Amino acid sequence: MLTREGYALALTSFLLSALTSTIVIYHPLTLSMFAAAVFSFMYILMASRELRSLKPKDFTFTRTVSNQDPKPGERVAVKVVVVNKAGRDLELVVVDGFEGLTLVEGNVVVEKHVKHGEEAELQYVVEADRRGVYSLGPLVVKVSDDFGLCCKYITLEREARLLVRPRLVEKPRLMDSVRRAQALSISGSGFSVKFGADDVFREITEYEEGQPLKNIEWRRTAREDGQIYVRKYDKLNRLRVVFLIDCTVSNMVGKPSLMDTTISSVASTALALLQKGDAVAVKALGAAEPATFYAYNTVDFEGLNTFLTKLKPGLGFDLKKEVEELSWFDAVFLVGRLSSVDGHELRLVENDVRRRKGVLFTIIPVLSDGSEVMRLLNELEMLRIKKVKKQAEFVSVVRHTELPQYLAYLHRMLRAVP
Amino acid sequence: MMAKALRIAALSPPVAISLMALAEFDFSNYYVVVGMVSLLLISSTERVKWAAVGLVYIPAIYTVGLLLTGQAAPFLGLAAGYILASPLVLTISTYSSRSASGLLSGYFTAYTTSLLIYGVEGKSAQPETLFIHLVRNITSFITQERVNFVPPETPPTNLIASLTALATLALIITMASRRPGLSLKIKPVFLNALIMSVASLTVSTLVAFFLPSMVSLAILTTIVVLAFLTAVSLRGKDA
Repeated sequence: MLTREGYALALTSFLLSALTSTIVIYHPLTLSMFAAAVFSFMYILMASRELRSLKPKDFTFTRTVSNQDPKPGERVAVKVVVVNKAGRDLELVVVDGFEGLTLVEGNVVVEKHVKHGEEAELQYVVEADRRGVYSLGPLVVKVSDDFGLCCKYITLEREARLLVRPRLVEKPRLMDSVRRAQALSISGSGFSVKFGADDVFREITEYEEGQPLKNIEWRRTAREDGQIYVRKYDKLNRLRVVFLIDCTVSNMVGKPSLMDTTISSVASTALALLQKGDAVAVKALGAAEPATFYAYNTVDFEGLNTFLTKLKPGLGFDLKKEVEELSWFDAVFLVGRLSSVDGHELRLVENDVRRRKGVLFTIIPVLSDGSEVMRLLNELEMLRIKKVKKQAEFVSVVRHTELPQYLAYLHRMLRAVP
Repeated sequence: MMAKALRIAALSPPVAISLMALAEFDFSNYYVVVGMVSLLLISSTERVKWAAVGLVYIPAIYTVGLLLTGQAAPFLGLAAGYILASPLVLTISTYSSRSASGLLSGYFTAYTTSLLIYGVEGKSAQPETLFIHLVRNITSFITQERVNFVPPETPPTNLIASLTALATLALIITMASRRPGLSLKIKPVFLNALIMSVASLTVSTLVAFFLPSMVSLAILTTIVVLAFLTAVSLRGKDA
């Protein structure tokens, strides 16, 4: 194809040649313009024909990404190297693309005269401020003739996906505010599992922060100087936990959005649950592509995390129907703004969960008061929640920053219930 | 250096025609010289440009003042100077053009303007009548009294045709080596296109010599065919 300059030259030479042979006739000038026009068109024709012979196999390329598993806010350095294997010198413009990411450093375009065997290198740094599926590419090489009149675009790679997974909270500590403010919000009285009843001794290991003191192996600890040891048990009973995440667009408020915070918290808690031998199911309510993911051990967490990464907000859901579709659960965590659900519906769901011998935790995260507008929005939100709580008093309200801690708290509490 | 020499050679015809026109002009009115010099300076280097702005405005305001007091000659002389200098100014701006299309269109404009001034000025070498003939030439073209925009009085064809032929060659080479920092590359594609254009110029010259009435038709047809072929060959999708 022609470049902008190529179009301009072709058009100019055509028009001037037409002008000098119709209304501005002076034979030396007319012939001069004609010769220039013939040269322009012939050159464009021949150069484009030569460029057309180039194929993607005339180049080799590598794209190196520094961070294979980036989290929101983390930087990803990308290095692209394109090597000319065409057997001749080329005027190259290498262009790499990205979708949804923010360019932090560097440039995604490089222009270079590349001899055979030489390379053109491109380096840039991008970041994503929220979790999701992003793409790098397409990687396109623009080859132009020596004078920049015509060019050919060759796509070396369509798109490479970049998963920005939710940031996990490592060892969430129980915040005092959570401990103090939140009452036990368990709905339902039936426990299908005798929690922690059937522990089977497995090994003695060094003590790590957060492990229960009742498991300390005092004899071994007394023998060793300054090192505390604990007994580890395998639990024969497996707790089956279901997370129902409200993925409707109403959860996209805040930065990071409530939905992202919820997903990060659920991912962290799910990992903790899986590490303790529990089974986890996550159901995306009202997502653009509603689905359920089941994880039975830590190996499945990778898939669960990818599933959570890909979640996109949708329009709405029928909570009662979604809960009825659940095949198993001992505990159900319902997390999100739940703006499309009223108290009556929550009460019905709670009854359903209880009937099936499960426990329901309903948690509505709210944004922190940042600005005056946010404070007003929060007041409105609290009025709505208050109305919901009139019919469903078991609903818990948690600041979105404290959600991971609160879920961890519920998880520990669930384990501690005799 | 070579590139500069080629550019100068490419733009030599409008300069030559302008100088031929100036050689016959009556410079007894010094305001003509003032007008010419100030306009040429304004298109000169950056350093001189701002000084030349004063050189343009001061005489212009002064001559307008004289015009209001009933002395029209200085005003007309200054304006005539501007007009006479215009092909040279266009040539200078074309010389510094970076794109091939800009070079080509600048060359055409400078050439046409110099021809226009040569043709008009041939009738009257006085600033007072230059305007009248210039306006008459343009209106006669608009009112379709004449088909050709170029006035009937043209410079000696033998001299200008030879100069234009050489200039065309230089122009083509300059067009192809327009990228700053890139030296001229004689590659097969460039050489083939150059040979084709020289051949077409030869054929067209022969047609113009033996069948002058057919030149325009032949050129138009060839250009349309070439443009069509280019459009067809470029319609394919990229890989």
